[in-house]
Amino acid sequence: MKNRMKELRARYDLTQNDLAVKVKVRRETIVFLEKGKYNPSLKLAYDISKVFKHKIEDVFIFDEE
Amino acid sequence: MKKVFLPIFILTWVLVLSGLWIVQPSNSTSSVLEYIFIGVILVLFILGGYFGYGRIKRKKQGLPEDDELSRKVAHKAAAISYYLSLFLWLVLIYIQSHVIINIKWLFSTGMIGMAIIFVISWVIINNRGIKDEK
Repeated sequence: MKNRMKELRARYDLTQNDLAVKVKVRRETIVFLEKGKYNPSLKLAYDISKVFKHKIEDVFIFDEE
Repeated sequence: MKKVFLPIFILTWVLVLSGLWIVQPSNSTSSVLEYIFIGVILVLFILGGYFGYGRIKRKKQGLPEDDELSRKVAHKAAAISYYLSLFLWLVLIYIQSHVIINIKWLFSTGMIGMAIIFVISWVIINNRGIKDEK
């Protein structure tokens, strides 16, 4: 699963720490998500999408391969 | 309060037992092993202190002490280390059946080995990440 978190975070001028505080996770989790080393739970994906004011499928792109 | 009580209780017990172990008289052949074990216990305590400090720091920043990723990493590390620890104990039992080993050293090696296996598993999983796609 790919995601546009880094791009959207830059657009909203948010640091990894700011985003972590908003969605109530550790900064390391945001780092892992951006690197594609962790797939978030539905709840976390929803919270992140809500911060970016986008739909979940616009932020997290499921790669069928 | 409950969250703080259990780690403090465990820490106190480990410190008391380690202290008793250090101060008890021993022969010279086992003293080298004792120093190795004490060294490993100290390293594990320093690591524990480092992670404890990280948790306090995160709390001050308004971040959670743990989250879904840290819990998943800990669960996976615990599962893998349990599996590997079974093999460790099998090896120790095999060695014990061929060589005369003091029961104290057998259990000490087993328990410290389990702790080391858990730390190594945690470090590897924490660096690799968890994808769980399928």
